[in-house]
Amino acid sequence: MGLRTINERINQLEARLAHVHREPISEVPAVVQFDGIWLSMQTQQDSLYEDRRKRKRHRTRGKRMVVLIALGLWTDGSGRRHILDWEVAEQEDQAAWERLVQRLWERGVKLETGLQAIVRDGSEGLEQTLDYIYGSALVQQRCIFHQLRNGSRQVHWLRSRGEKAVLGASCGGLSSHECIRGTSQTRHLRRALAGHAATGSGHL
Amino acid sequence: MQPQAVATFEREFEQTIRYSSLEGMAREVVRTTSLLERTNRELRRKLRQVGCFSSPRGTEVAVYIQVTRLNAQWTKTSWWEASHSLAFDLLNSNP
Repeated sequence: MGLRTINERINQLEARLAHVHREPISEVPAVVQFDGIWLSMQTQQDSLYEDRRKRKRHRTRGKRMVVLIALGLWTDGSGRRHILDWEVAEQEDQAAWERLVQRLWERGVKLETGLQAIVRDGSEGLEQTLDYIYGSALVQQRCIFHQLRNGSRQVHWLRSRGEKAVLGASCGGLSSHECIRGTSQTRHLRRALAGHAATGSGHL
Repeated sequence: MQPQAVATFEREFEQTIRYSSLEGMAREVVRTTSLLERTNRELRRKLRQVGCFSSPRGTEVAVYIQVTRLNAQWTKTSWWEASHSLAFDLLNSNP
């Protein structure tokens, strides 16, 4: 397919996109999950340079873009899910989240129409946006996995043998290597924190 | 364990256990963003083939096509049907 054809298709689909982002959502899911993925993009700069054939070319620069995504989930046992909307932004800040969440609200994703909870990571911009648009009536669930992973990252700072031994003992007698490394680290941390909660001690 | 780890865990702790107050809802769906992470992985798998996007418009359109594909996959609609309905929509919107 030629470059011109691809450009034509993109132009056609872009017109369709504007319509997709405005379509009312008739079946509102009970739960909406929010997160973003990062992509690379090449941007043109104003400055020019000459290539090998002495043609004038714009200098390009790579930059990262984030795609913010809202995934709707139905909890009626059907296991149904649907990507409700998305937003391409330069960073995961409040302004970008606000564009996405506001659009969802305008399209009908409201508490009155069946929305019960949202699940999100620790993004501050998203939290502020949800508080601003939905208020305190909306149940906001912080993703447990993100929370435990962030805690586990702090555990990586344990370097001395003594600290690792203490951690190993608090994780049910497992070796410090098992506690700190590997995919099971969150499970061990959870177990350690459960023990911490049970004993009620100040520090683990 | 270092106090920072506990402090990190305690931050927004109430919102971490909010799912326990939700009645009649599958906890697997509400506790984590795992399903969305899985979706993101699917999207990234396809979008990585592009390598580097040249414009925000192109990115939007590529994401739109992949979202349409995933939504069709989840509703057990074949990509053949989904892509044809997309083509007809395009014809209707740009006659």
